[in-house]
Amino acid sequence: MKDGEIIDLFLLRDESAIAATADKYGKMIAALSERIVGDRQTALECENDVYLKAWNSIPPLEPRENFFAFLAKIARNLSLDRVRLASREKRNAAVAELSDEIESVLPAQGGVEETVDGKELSRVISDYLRGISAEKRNVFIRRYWYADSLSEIAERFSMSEGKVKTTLYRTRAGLAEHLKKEGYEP
Amino acid sequence: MNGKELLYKINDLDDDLIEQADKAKKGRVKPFKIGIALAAAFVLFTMAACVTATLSFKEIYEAGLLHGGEHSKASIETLLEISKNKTVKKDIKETVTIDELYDAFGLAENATHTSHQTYIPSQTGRPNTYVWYYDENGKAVRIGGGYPPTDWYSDIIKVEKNGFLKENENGELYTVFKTESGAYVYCIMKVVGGKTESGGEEAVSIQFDRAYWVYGEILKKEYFEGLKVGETTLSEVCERVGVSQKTKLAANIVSVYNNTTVKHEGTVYAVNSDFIFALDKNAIAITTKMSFLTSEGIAVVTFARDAEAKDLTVSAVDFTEGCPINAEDLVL
Repeated sequence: MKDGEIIDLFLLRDESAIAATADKYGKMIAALSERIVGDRQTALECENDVYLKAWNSIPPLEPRENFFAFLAKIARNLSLDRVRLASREKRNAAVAELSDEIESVLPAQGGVEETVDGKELSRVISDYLRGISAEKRNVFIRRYWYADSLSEIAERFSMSEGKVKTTLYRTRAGLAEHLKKEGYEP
Repeated sequence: MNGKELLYKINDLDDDLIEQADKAKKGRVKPFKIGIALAAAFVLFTMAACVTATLSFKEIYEAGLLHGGEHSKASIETLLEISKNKTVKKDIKETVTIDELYDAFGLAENATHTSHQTYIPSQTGRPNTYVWYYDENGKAVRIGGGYPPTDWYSDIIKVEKNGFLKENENGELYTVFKTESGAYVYCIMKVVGGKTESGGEEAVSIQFDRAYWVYGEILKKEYFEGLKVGETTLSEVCERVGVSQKTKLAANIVSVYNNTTVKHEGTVYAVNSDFIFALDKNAIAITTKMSFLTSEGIAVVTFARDAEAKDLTVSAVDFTEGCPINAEDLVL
C-alpha cells in the first residue's frame, strides 16, 4: 500500500492504518529501535508506541511525503527515551559508544548551550550533510541516526570497517568545523 | 551538551536525508554518484563532439597511441602482462581500496605517480622499498629496483610532474594518458594487493580496469559566447551544447558544490546554483570533477576530493607544450 493511502486511512480513523503501517514499516521500525535500546522486547514495545503516537498525531499531521522518516523519528525518540530511563540503572553500551564518538564534534564540554534548540541544531547538521558526498552522508546518518554498528555499515556499503571509521572520522571533523562556523562555539 | 544529548538533538534531521540513508546501499546509490556520472559524462561529452569510443588499454597500446620512450613502454608491457594473466588474481587475497592502500603504505592522500607506469612502490617499513607486480605464477616480482625511502619519496615528487594517480568519487583510481595523436585517455585503475608465496612480503600492483577514450575537441567556444555570469541558466548552456538531457546529467554531479567558492585566476565562474563552468580567454569548458580538453587543447582540470573541500579549485592547464599533465598546475 502506498504511503498516501495509509495516511488516508489514518485520516479516516480506520484502524487498519495501523496494520498497514506495521506491515510496511514494522520490521524497519523495530530494527531501528532494537539497535538503540539493545533488546528485542523493548524494541517491540517501542514499535507499538510508535503506532500509538502516529495514530494520535495523524491528523492533524499528514506526513505524506516522508512517512517512513516520520515514523522513524518517533521510533528513535521513543527508543532514546527508553535508554534514558534505563540509563539511570545502567549505561547502555551502544548509545554510550555513539555518544562518545559524536561528542568529538562538539567544540568543548559545555560549549554548546544546553538550551540549544534541537530542531535548529538538526537543521545546521542537515545543511552540512547536504554538502558532503552521498556516501559520507549516508554513512554518517546510518551510524548516528540509525545507530548502525560499524560492521552493518560496512556490509551495507560494501566497504571495510576501516574505511567506515575513516569516513566517520572525517565527517565528524568536518561537522565540528561547520558547527564552529555556525557559532556553536564555547 | 555532551555526545549523548547531541544524539537526542539531531533527531530532527531532514526527512529526505533520513529516507535516503534508509534506502542507501552501494548498489543503489552509486548510479547517482559521481563515478558513474563521470563515466557517463565522459561518454556523453565525447558524443557531443561526435568522437566517442571506449577502448581497452590493450587496444590503445596496440594502436600505437601511447606516448613515451622505452621506459614507459616497458612499463606498459609489464602492465599488459599483468592484465593478461587474469589467473593471477586468484592468488591475490582481495582488491584493496585506495584508503586501505594509503593506510597500508603510508601514502599521502594526494600521492601521485606517473601516469604511464603501472605500479606503485610498496612501503614495507624496511630500509628499502620495492616495486612489485605478480607474475603468471602468482609470485610477486620486483621491478623498478629498490629505493631508499628518501629517494623513493623524491621519485614520487619527480613523477608528479608527469602524471597522477587519483581516486575518483566512485572509489576508483584513475589517471589520464596523452596519446601521440593528442587525445587523452581516462583510465580506471584497479589496485590489487596480497602476499608473495615465498616471503610473505606485502605487495601491491595496479592494473588497468577500463579506459575511456577522450578526444581533444569536446566543447566549442561558441557554445558559451555571450553567456552572462550569474544570469545564464544551465538549460541555456545545455541548449547551446545540444545535449541537454545528457549535459544536465553531468551538471547534476556538480550540484553538491552549490555553495562552494570557485577559485581561479579570474576566469572561472559559478553560473548558477546548479552549474559551474570555466571561462578562459582561449577556451571554455564546463567543469566537472574530471579533466577534459577544449577545442584549443586547453585542459580544464577540476579536482576536489570531496564536497568537504572548502574551495573547489579549478585550474586550466595547457597541454600543448607536450607535458602530459603538469601536476604542479593542479591545485588540489
